[in-house]
Amino acid sequence: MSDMAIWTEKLVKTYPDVRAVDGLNLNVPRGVVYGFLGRNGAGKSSTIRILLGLARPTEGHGTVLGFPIGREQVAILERTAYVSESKTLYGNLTPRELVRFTRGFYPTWSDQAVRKYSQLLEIPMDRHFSKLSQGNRTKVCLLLALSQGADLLILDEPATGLDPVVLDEFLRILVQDVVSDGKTVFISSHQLSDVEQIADWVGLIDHGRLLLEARLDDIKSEFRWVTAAGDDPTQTSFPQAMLVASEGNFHKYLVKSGAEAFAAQLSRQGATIAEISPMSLREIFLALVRKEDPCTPGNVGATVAVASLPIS
Amino acid sequence: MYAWKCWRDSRGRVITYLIALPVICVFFTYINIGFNKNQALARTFAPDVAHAWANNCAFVLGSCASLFTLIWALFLGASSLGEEFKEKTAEFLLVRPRPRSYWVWMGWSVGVGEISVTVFAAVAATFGALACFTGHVPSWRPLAIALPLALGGAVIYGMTCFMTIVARSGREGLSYGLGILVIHLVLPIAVSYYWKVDVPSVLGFMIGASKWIVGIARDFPFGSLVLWTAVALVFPFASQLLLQRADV
Amino acid sequence: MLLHVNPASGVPTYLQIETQVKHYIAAGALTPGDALPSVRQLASDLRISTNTVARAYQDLERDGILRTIPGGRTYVGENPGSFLKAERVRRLRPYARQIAVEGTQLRLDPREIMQLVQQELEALEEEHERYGNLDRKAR
Repeated sequence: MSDMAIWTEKLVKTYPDVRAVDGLNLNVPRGVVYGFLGRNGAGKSSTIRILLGLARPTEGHGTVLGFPIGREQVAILERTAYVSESKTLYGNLTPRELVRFTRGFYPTWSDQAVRKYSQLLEIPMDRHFSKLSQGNRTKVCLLLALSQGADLLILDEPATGLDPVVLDEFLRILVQDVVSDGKTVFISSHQLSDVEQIADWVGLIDHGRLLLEARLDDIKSEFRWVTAAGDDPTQTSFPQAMLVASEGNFHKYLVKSGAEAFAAQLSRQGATIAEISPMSLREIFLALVRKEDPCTPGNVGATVAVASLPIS
Repeated sequence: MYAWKCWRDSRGRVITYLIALPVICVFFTYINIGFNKNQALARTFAPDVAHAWANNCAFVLGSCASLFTLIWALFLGASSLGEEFKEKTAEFLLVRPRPRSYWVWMGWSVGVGEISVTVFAAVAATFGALACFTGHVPSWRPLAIALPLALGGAVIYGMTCFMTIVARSGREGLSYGLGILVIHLVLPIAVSYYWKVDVPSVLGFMIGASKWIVGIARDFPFGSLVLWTAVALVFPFASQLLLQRADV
Repeated sequence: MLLHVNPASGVPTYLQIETQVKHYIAAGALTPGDALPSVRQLASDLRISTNTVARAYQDLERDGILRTIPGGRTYVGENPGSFLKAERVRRLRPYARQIAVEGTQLRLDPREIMQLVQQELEALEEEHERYGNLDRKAR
């Protein structure tokens, strides 16, 4: 577990009226970009707050960069940079003063990075934070995170308010300066296209537990839409396939792995395979979190295991 | 860094009080002594310079400045950690690599430091004014009045800080603190009037210690000193415990 | 070398890179000894993770298509003559099967499928010649 950037076991967090995190087993390898996806209220923020020591887990435990959560929280915080969803910093300070405030906490801080990134991201360094636009506020938060010299970056919605040019520049910086150095990036975002572009791994959380955690490449290699024409829509022995739509004779299946074999089985049953097509991350996300199979109500999606290459 | 930030946040208020409190004290001293240049009247109030000094210090500093210090400490305490929750900056702050105790005690130290400096400025200004109005300096002891004043301020400051963390808001914490302070000041008076029982009051301690320092009272309020020192430290400690258990 | 990846397509990004590199080599746009951009540079240009690019380069190197000097750049390797013919045939077979399956599903008869493959091979030959001419002109 200590070779993982983030590892949790059976993490639970309950609030008076809801079980926000419900037995979460995260495995985030070091040196990757991990996209943490989920609907609002799925437990993403609660999980992140536990990792950072802002909230205490009801049950379960975990480590961040090898240090146990809670017990050695300060050691974790020394090596972790965080950009929160709210992006709220001290309104009465300017970005320059915020840098001054923050830099003293980190021996790994780089002033050179501050100069470089404040220019690249076009940040007005001497305007009071309360007077900055949303996009500029985000940029300041990113600047602080990038200059910290952290081993792990936890970014919660890092694109808020960024125009496409700045966002593109930020992604470039992330790839060139952070990921290339073997640091780990943990991104929680609704911008699935950005995550799809930059992530190596994806973890999909729903109702407090992981539905899916695997390399993005493997997910994309395995998930397929299969459209077929035939008169018998019910397939019997293929648990990884799910009927999602029917129109007359045509049926559309979501297949989580083994699409070829499934198509072959349908062929044997007399169906005509129209197409086996790949799925985008957005389609996979929607298919998994919309659990109900519209044809047979109550068919709740099971946790998917996608075999990934062993971490070398 | 955090100490700098605490200073930065309270800078305006501290400078205001740093000017206001000495000015108020000098003004009262002027009313009390300087104004009464009439010799006869002066003799009624104080037979000699030393007595004039003692009475003035006891009144202006021991009573008036004490009260102002408590109120000043109340308002200073309202801008501490609790306000971070309200402003939603607590998340940012508490993710910096320091234990929760650090935030509490560092903030408390800065506040107490600011109160101490202000109080000492007021005492020194009064001392200087007295020297001006009466012409000479019977003793340097009155300067020590800064100590019980600072301690009293620290008690109320710590109490308000604690209340802001409980309420997770500067304004609400201030309201609670104000309520507690008012009750704390009024209750002993009512209780001692009706039931003849002495309830310890921080203001009582500040007045009593000031009187002892200038020689008006004979007994040093040692018990009170211990009590209020302990209370001054209990509040930040309670704040620490509360913060350590809190979900942000 | 200008590559383009589409992260939203269902094809994994590393595969897209591998395919494009192979195409350029087959078309003659990249010749043995040409240097490829570093992993960091390519990842940065494409705004994708370095791990993705690294994986593509590793796969291509394993197949003998690319060659990396330890601690240095990556180059187009010499023709994979190091692999036995049988091995090369074995590697191509899954693609042949895919063509067979797809073609059959599309109700094309074997002759038409073979014709298609022939046409593509000829087009590739043309591209190879074209790049070869450009090269000669450049020199």
